[in-house]
Amino acid sequence: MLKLLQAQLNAISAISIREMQLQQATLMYGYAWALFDALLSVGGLVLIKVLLKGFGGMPGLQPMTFVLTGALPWFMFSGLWHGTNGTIKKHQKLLSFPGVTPLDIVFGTALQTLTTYGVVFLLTTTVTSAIEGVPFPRFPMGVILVFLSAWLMGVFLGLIFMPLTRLYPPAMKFISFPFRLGLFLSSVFFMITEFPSYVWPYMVWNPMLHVGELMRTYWFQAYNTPVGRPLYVVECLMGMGALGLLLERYARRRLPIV
Amino acid sequence: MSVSFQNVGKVVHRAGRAYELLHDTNLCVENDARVGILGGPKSGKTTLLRLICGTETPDTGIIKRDDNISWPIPLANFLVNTSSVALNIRFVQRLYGIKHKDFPRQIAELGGFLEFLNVELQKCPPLVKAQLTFALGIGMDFDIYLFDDRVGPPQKQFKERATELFKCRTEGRGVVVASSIPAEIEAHCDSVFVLDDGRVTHFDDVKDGVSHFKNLMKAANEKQKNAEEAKEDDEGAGGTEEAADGMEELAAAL
Repeated sequence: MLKLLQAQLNAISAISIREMQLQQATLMYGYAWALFDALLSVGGLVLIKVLLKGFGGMPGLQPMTFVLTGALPWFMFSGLWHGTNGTIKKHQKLLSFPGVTPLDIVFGTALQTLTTYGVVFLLTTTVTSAIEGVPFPRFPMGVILVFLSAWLMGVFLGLIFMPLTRLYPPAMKFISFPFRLGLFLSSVFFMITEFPSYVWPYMVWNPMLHVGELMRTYWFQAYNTPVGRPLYVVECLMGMGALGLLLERYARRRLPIV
Repeated sequence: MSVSFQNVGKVVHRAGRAYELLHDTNLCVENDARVGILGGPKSGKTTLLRLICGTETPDTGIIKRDDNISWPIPLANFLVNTSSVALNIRFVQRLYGIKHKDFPRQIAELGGFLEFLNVELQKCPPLVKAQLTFALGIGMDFDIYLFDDRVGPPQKQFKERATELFKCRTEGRGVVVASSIPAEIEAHCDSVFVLDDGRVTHFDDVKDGVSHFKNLMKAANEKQKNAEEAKEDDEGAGGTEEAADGMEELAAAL
């Protein structure tokens, strides 16, 4: 059992390192461009937030750091759940090695995504905190755990949707649409306190809302979430994890990679 | 016992049609045996190798493996042409958790392409790729080595060295060679499985297996020739019928 686990960890780390080496490999400063891509994707949002000062702003929550702490976990989550089947298809040649499974490919590439977004998160929040005079996060371990939860949620949701994509390839086009609304309903731009309290019960089922709320609570001294529950996030992760792994196993045996 | 198949069945889909590659197959490969698998083109040799190493799952039956089994050698599809030879080797090194720092150099020495170690694969001569895939497989420490089609690259410059390496590295280990070339099996194996129409027949003597395979191929060729002749006859007859129909239509029109 330990031997198998070790083999799986070896495969995940090998795939992750290879993916990192191949990111923009044809360009000079290859991996730095991957970081730049992630920076660009959130840079636009920060600009909008700063230009429209006061739009969705809350007292004590500095706009640039506020957007970064919400948008980076969200973008990481979106990129992961959306691209699972494509990732397996792109790397399916690696399945010719005994011991390499589609799950290793998913986790290996997801680990590379986590590294990229983790580095960008660390760099950008350090810079914006210094510019805006935001003090050190109130609960750093909480910030790390919430960031990891967003990552795991993306991986598991990707595994859940993967069989559907194989059965009906255009499925993602329909699924993506409601998820775009998530950008506005998951505490990325607006905190739940900016919505009337009578709509809260219709929003709190969303685990990414809890992630966004908890992230700001653990980061900013001036914000305490009225709804964010760490236990709910853990419960969702366990449920999604079990379902995702089950469906991945089904897809591996029954549905060919398309 | 190292690998054993119990009532294994495998169906594959080609161009929308289902083909039964293996039907209720029972076989076992000991970890010090040198076994050949002889089969015609598209008979399922590579699929059988994939089933042995575990990269493919059977539709029915059970496959038990006790030992560390190689991938079907040579395996080239994972190589990244824009990466150096050393980086490609390092990937496999990490995949199998090999801690030895000089592993890429060892593989390059084994394959005889040390001067290309830090060169991008796409800038290397074509023979280097063949040497790399062979050396990478044979340079790993497996209990059973699987070879697809040939043992070693077909190029003359490397053939002798490849045979020498094969003998040296696989001594006391298991070897499975799947090929449609009887000479490959005769040169490297002690017993043979002949794969025909989803059925696997075992021969302790390679010569018996090879002659059985040759008879099968001869029969298949004759069958194909007869089928082609029959088709040509049908087309000829069809052509006459069409001509007759055309004449009738012409007569009616007149």
